[in-house]
Amino acid sequence: MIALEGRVTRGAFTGELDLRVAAGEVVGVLGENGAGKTTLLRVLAGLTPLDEGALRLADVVVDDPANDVFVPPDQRPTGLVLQDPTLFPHLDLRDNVAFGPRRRGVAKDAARSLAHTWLDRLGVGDQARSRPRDVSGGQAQRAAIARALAAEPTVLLLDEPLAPLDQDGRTLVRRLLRTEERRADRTTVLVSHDPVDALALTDRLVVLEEGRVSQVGTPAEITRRPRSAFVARLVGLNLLEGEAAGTTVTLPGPAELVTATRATGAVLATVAPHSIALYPARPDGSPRNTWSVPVEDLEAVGDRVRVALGGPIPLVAEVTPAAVADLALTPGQQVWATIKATDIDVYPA
Amino acid sequence: MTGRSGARTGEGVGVLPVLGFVAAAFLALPLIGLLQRTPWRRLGSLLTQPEATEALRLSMTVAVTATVLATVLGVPLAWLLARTRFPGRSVVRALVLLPMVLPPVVGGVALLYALGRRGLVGQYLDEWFGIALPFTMAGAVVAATFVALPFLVITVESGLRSLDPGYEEAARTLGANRLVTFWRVTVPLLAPQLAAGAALAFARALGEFGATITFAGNVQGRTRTLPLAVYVALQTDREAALALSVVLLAVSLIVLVLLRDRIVGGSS
Repeated sequence: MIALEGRVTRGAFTGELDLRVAAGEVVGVLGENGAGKTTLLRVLAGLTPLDEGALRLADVVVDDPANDVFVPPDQRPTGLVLQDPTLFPHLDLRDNVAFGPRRRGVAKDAARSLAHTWLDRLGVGDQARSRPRDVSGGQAQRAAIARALAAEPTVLLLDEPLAPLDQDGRTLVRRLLRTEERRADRTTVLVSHDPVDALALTDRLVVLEEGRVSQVGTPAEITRRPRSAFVARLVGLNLLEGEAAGTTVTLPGPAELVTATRATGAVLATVAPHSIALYPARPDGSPRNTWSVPVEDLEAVGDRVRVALGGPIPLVAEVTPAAVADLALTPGQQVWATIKATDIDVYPA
Repeated sequence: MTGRSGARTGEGVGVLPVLGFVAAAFLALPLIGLLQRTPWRRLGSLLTQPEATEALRLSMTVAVTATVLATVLGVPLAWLLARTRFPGRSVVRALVLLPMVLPPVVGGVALLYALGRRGLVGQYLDEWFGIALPFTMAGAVVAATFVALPFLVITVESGLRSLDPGYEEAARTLGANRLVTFWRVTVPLLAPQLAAGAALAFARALGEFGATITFAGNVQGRTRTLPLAVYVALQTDREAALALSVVLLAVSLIVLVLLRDRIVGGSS
């Protein structure tokens, strides 16, 4: 559980931070560089103290400058993974991961075997005895994630954790964060620039702009109604979950998507709103993915208009104001929507 | 324009190298003087004379103890200067540098009036604990530590400043308190700077003369370290003085070799 309301000033930057996250919840934090995402995580971890306000973690006040309360990072239930793995260069991967359990009083041998288990889960067990400088950046990041998780944090703070990973590593870590590491007693805050992470891993998104929270909502809400062009660009993606078999993805709807890439099993498919074309009548030589759907809502974002579509698959399309006028789009109207198979990206879920 | 500046450079080229080589020769000449008069054949017997072995052993004990003390006291001080803010920090930094620029004799006099038998603190050491530092080996260690400490502090402090704070922050978020973080993360990462600082401190402690003779005196077997033995021998047995000097020179060269990647070979 996180309850934060406070202010922090660092040089020219002032952050008015306001964040409430329930236990068991995963919150994504979005924002441009300098918006205060990293500062937010540092405040939560206790690496940057608040100047004003208060922070509670798991119902314990850990930072309250007015009452002279400051719980140092090592006594907070937080774990932190940054884009830079910052593995201790003088320890091998195993002892890096064992570092957290050792501090909790786990005996050396037990901590090492625990570390092995974690490294195995992250797919780098065979590098347990390597020093950080002898492994690749992706392997180091897997070990850094293992190190943070092995400390069993109840507040997990992730700052672009998947950025240094290769595609396999991303799939593995996403799956881990969606399944076993998604725990009822854990609160996770994920800073990411990757729309797939922001949409697929989180229950809620918080948008930071110039040190303030500018928008909060579920990924679906934010995709539908991004309040700034930046957010629209970043997470204005349609994210669909389904089962793939060859080039067909079956969606709960029920509906089917035809894709250009082959996949099997549970997948996530993303479609950029600007690649959804709208027609007043069924188009000729129709692409494989064509549906007749009702227009539910229209909203201007920057120089584009986002069109929320109903029907079996809730989609958001993005068109120019001129197209809105040409099609005379109004809520309640039926239109034909099409997606080219090559415009659909498929990721293993 | 080009011709004129070329002519100027030409003039400079004549004078600068000459002065440079004069300076290098000025540094090399005393070494050559020392080495060409060293009684190499008798070196073994000169260095195994009782006075020599005693001075050698005493110097090693004093310098090693002073290096350990300087490390134990100097590392926390370096940490304070590099990682914390407190009122009067600039005064403390100036204090750290003082023994490097203060004439060692003045340091010795100052130590005498602080820790000597009638000194500010020394009188209580004597009165309450029966500890008297002057004319004891402990006194020689105190004098050597006083002059060696700055070398360790400034080397370790600059190492701390260049250390990525991300490692220490990672350790903190993993449950390590300040002290554990310091021992388990900061100190191992600072190993190269610690070694360099300790080598410099050792060399300085080994060569200490002025503060030692002023504060601890010149007592054979107790405070007559190598430099003092050289000074005494120079008046009685010049060959012994040369032999002991060669030992000190050799130690200095070894320290330089150990540090060559850090200081001497910095450009390569």
